[in-house]
Amino acid sequence: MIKKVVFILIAIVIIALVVIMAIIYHDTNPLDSRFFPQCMFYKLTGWQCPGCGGQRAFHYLLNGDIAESFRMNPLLWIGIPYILLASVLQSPWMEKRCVRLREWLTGYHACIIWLFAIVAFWILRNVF
Amino acid sequence: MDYYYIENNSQKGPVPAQELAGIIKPDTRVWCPGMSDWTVASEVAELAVLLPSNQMSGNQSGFVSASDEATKVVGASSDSFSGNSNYSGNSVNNSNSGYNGNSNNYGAGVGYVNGGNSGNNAGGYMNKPQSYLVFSIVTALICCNALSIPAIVYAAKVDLLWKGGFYDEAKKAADSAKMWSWISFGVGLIWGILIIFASVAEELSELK
Repeated sequence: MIKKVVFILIAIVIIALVVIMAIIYHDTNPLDSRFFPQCMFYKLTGWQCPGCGGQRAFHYLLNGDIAESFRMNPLLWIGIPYILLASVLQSPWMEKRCVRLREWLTGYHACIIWLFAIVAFWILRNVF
Repeated sequence: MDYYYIENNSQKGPVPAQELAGIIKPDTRVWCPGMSDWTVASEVAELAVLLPSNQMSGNQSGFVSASDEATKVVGASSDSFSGNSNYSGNSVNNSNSGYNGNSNNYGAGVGYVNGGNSGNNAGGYMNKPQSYLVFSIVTALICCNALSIPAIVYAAKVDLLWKGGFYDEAKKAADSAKMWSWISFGVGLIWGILIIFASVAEELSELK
């Protein structure tokens, strides 16, 4: 019961944040304003991190430019659906359902795949 | 009452209790609505009466395979924790207590706490610790630093250790994964706030 209340509260906070951000990011391209936080890794090293381009990708997505959004950060297009699916599967309501899928999505192989995906993307996007 | 049960690492059911006779063994994990967690059949009164009375031989063979698996994991990653020999000793304790077998490898993620080393929880159940993989992926993608990488590595170790029967070690790895995720989150958040303040200050100084 407490777990469910906590889950709902966290979900409400996150959804509220996303809605507020969507309003901001819809109207402004992060490139045109200095008030959008820039990536620490990029500022310090000049190289892009795995999350770089996320704000621009969000902006383009909200304005319907799917191709440009994907170009800004392809990893997010895999990461966000994964995060949503895994979060739903880890909710208290799904405890006894889809057990095998959840175990796989948060298990050893998923960890290794993500580790390689993030590190590879990090290196490749700075090489090419 | 209808029960779910674990067979060959997958969840089956629901099946009425009477039909479980012959299917379940004393160490089969079962669950029905109203139970807080998966439980071995021998501890559920309604099912215990359905079990064959002589079951130790089955348990014994189950234990051997579990112990083999644990040994394999020790061999594969012996550098990552110390005192391996203690743990094989623990597995033996488990077998003496009656239920054990493939307790490390079924879908629902519930296992036994090792009798010897666990302290507070001796003999009880322990849920598989969360690996915090999802949270560490979130922080890896939005926090712009490399501190999420150790979190993902620890998340991988949680699963590996758990499947090898090292429940306490798995719990520690899970705590490390959680800690690194939060560190990454904190660093990213502080950076974000600082840099927004910095750009506001820059804007104000240009206005003067």
